Amino acid sequence: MPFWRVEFLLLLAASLLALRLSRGPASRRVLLILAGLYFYAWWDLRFLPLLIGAALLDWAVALGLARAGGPGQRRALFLAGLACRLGLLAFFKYADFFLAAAPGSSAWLILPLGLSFQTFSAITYLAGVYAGRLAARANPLDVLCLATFFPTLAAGPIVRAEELLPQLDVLAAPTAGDLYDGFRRFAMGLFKKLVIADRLGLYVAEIYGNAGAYDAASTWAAALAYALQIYLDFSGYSDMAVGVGRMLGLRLPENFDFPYAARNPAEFWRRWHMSLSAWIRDYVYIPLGGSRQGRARTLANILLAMLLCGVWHGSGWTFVLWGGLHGLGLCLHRLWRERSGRHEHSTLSGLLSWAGCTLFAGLCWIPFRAEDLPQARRIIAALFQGGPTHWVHPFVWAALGLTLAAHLLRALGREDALMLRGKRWYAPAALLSLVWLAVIFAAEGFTPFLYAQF
Amino acid sequence: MSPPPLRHWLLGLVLSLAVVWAAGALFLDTVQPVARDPAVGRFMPEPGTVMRQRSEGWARTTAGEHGLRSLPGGRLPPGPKVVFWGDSYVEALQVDDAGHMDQVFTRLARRAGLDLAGVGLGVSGDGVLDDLFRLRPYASVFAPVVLHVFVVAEIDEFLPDVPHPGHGEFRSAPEPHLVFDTAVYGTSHLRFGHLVRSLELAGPYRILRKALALDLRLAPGPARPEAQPAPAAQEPERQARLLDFLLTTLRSQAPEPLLVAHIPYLPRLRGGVVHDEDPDAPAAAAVRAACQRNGVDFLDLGPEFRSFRQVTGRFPRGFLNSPPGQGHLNQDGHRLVAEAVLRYVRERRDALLAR
Repeated sequence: MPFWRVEFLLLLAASLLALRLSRGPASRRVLLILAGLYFYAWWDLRFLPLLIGAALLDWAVALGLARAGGPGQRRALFLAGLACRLGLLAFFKYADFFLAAAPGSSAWLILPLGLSFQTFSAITYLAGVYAGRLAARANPLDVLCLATFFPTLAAGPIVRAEELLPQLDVLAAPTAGDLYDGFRRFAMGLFKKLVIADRLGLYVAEIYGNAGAYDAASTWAAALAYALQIYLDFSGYSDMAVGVGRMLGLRLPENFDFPYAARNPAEFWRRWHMSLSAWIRDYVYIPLGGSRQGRARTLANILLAMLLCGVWHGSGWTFVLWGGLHGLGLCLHRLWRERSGRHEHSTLSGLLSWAGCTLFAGLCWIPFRAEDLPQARRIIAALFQGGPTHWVHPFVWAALGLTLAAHLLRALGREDALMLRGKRWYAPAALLSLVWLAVIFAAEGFTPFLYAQF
Repeated sequence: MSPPPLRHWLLGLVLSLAVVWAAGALFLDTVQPVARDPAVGRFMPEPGTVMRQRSEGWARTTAGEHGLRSLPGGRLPPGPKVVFWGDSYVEALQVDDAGHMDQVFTRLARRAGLDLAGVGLGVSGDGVLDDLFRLRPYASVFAPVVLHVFVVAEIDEFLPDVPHPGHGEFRSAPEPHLVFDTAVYGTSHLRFGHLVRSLELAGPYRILRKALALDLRLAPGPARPEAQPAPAAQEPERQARLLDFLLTTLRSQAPEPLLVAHIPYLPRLRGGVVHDEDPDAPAAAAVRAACQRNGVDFLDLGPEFRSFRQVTGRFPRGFLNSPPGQGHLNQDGHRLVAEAVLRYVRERRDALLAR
């Protein structure tokens, strides 16, 4: 159920009203579960047993961990729970890749909505109980509430059990402040997604679909447009998810912090899809040894973590390439930093670093967006020598101008004004305008969130 | 964070509506108010209103006498005319008035020493079947007419059993027959069109229309898309008989020469390659053959479009804000149609102008 559908707004309104009228966190958790189940069933009722079954499995494994005797038994149980969760994800996400490789095969699987994000969130619960950071929940509804939490169900942010469960334990009725703050984020996300990202997507689809036919300027514009599209689409979605969570009275983790202001790949990943990069750091990179076992092992860990990050996005070689490129970028940056040491940037070096990092991230999006490696190759070739046709939609420049202006305001220390935080008489006018403009200028047709497919 | 006080919300509502108004006036296509033209018994754009197009192209067109666009001075020229009939391709809101095929034709004809004026009667959504029913009501409006040109982009307009609510339809059963439905404009358009246009309320009007068009699905998924019934395939002989019926009927509506000008969807980019073949070639060939059997000339613009791209590298479709090779004809496309029709007229100059 996409956030901008009227059905979702009705569900949200009904949930808010019910939460307001209900008494006690326990009944509110039940309401959230019911809302989550409807949210999921609206997409596909057939997968509801999978969602509930997986949550009950998490609940049982965690209870088993709490009651297990020795460390060996606990470890075996934890690994079994992990294998079930990852096996489920791998089956739905990658079985198609191998089945399709068989000659004449037309097999295909539907990826259940948000399965990747639910899996990562569930792993934080199992790992938290296993490590003793969290108490195993005796009530299965607590775990079901985590698994069916509808603001993050489709595409994150990846919410950790230790962040959400304590908030759900004391869930109060939403306040007027929560509603306003949530609406503020929701309206901003709605505008980013429906007005800017979706329109950029139409241009990008045309140029990528005809890779090599358009000239270099058009292809560069499409590469730039996609970098903006995926940022505004996913950060718009995240704004809406965080906003909906806030309306319900919950604080969800942030996913973006002006990633295109980054001046090196490491900073980029601290600002881009923050809930995923933190998850990969804590649950992949550090368990692999992190940076504690020498330079060569550290670099290998970085590369492996980023390759896994790429493969998580999809089973195609394009995602492997994307993850590998980012891994290489992070390794090279780490080596450079070891050699030259940490230092403050001058204005010029800061600008050059920013330009280099933005160009690097922008070019890495080419394989990410391409349908296959040959298309990525054609797009990269067209950056230098394209075809005879020229077309740059003026909207690309408008979107670029808006994004640059937002980044500039932040650089000037005006982030609160930009995000309409604090008491500002013009905030309602700005927010209502964003909503109206989203209604008027929403691109025709269904344009799902890009990250909902991962 | 405490929410803003009520007075800020009220002020915000007013200011946001002002933003909607300004954004709509700047970036949305204007709503075209329509009025009933008693001379032809149909609703047409109200004379004198200016239409701004923003969604495809960036143009201004003005409705003149009888709601016809791109008439110099808003008046129908008195002399002999070539009438371009069609849909949104002839209406051509995407191109300024001077670039419309009928106006380009007029200029080229005058330059060639022909005392002929082009007139375009295009209404978005109309098809050949609508034109067929309009030929007689417009006979006295356009007289004297030298040639009727039917500009056809969708060749399936000629095929039977294609549903087209609010327009003319060609049905093959039980016996071939034509049906005419004129309910093109909704009541809200007729009622509010003037107000929306004069107050530049395209923005709020868009919100209202989207609200009225809401399609709720509360049932669990997956949603199943509604299958569109495909028109039944006809045997070639039966298809020829049906086309003969249609073209005989069309031929009987006007004594002047008739020309079908087919503007195929080419050249177009697909998969990074320029495709020059007409995707509707089999249907177009059948229509061409039927035209020849029934005294209607057929002009295929495909060769002009192909050679234009080969020579200039440009496409006859597409604008700054729409993909090259897609959508409506741009100024180049209109000029190519006008030039081809003028060539046709010059080749048959004596026969046409002797009338």
